[in-house]
Amino acid sequence: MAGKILVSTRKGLFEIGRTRAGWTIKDAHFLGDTISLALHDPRDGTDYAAFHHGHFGVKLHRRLKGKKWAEVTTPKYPEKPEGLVDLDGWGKPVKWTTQMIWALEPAGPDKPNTIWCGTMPGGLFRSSDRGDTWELMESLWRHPDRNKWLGGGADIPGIHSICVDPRNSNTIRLAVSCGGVWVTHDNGLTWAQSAHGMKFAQGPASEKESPDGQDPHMMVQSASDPKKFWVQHHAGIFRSINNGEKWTRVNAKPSSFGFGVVVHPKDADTAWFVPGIKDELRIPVDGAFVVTRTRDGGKTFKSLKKGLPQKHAYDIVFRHGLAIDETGDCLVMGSSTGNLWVSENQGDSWQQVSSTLPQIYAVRWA
Amino acid sequence: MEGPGETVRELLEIVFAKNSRLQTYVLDDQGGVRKHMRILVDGLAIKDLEKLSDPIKKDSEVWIMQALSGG
Repeated sequence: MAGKILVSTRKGLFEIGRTRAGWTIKDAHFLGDTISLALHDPRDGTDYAAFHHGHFGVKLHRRLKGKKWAEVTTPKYPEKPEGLVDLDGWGKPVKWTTQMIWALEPAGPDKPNTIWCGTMPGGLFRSSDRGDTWELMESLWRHPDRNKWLGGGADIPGIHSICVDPRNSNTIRLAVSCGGVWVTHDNGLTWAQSAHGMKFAQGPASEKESPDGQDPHMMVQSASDPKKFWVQHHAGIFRSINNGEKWTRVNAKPSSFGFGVVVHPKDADTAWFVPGIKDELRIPVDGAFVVTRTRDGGKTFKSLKKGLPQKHAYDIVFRHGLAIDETGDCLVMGSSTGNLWVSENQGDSWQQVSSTLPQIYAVRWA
Repeated sequence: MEGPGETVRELLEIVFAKNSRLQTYVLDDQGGVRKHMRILVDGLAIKDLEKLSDPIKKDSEVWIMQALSGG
């Protein structure tokens, strides 16, 4: 079991640890500042925290193992060429400015010190020196289909999921809201769309099945069977068993709408979701907050509710608000209303760690 | 901080040369003023938020302020 959890919130970064009595808040950093995401890199013990200041913009801080937090370089977009007309899928001009750090992932065991960073408005960056310098993946940023991407829940498109393939770290898949799934097999030199089969429930035929407009809210890859993927999509749950080449819809009860998803590290057919009613009504069904779990690849789902509020609960778990540890036994979940829960038995029961945290954006085992 | 310069941009470049990280807090990736920052020259908000071409005099007073919001 991992011993620590990083919780990114609207008002600071919190470190959660385990005592004999259970899980508890051990430390708080950057109180008052908005932290959109944190990363613990298990390869070298480095922690990263992405700031989302209202007035100062996006910043990145790093804590080397055993050291104190210090600001490092924020990924920066190149100068926008004079006269370039660059519009998103809504037809709105794209601002070449880092407006949110929405994904941070280690690049793989054979690429020490290298990390990937996904941003709004849709740029993917790579650092080979733990955040001292950054390189924009120009091939993706200048791909003509990038102009089809559009904002969904946020006003502008962004990369929120980065899956580095455990079989070959030069293969990376991204999920974009809204821009589908993108794959590279050459460490970012060339990219192709890989969201075929995903579809919205409504809309004109040309739009609802177009891969470039799909809104995968979160994508995870199985560590034990890496050809298998899960996506919590805006229009339901999708699964791929062939490397993301084809996606098929999966139906869950009480609902298939949600944001986060995690997959068991040793069982590709076991995955967890946190449902809300639907797109237009983003609250738990009947005010009862549950986690759903499938153990058979999506054929059946079980609602897990022990330890979770079942009356007048209006928590929503954002896309990075659900995480699983490397054993597959421990899950952590943080909500839009500042509730934090941990389960040590694959979701069968939950311990409430806090009900008074700021709005939680992301949780991460460390 | 004090410095010469004939426009707000020239003045800020001198200031940022002494503290490069400060630039990323005031200006965005494209060199424009961040959306919640205000720059005032002798009490008046500057007009050119992208190129910062507003003129300054030798004894002008330049304020950089942040507009806070949110709950």
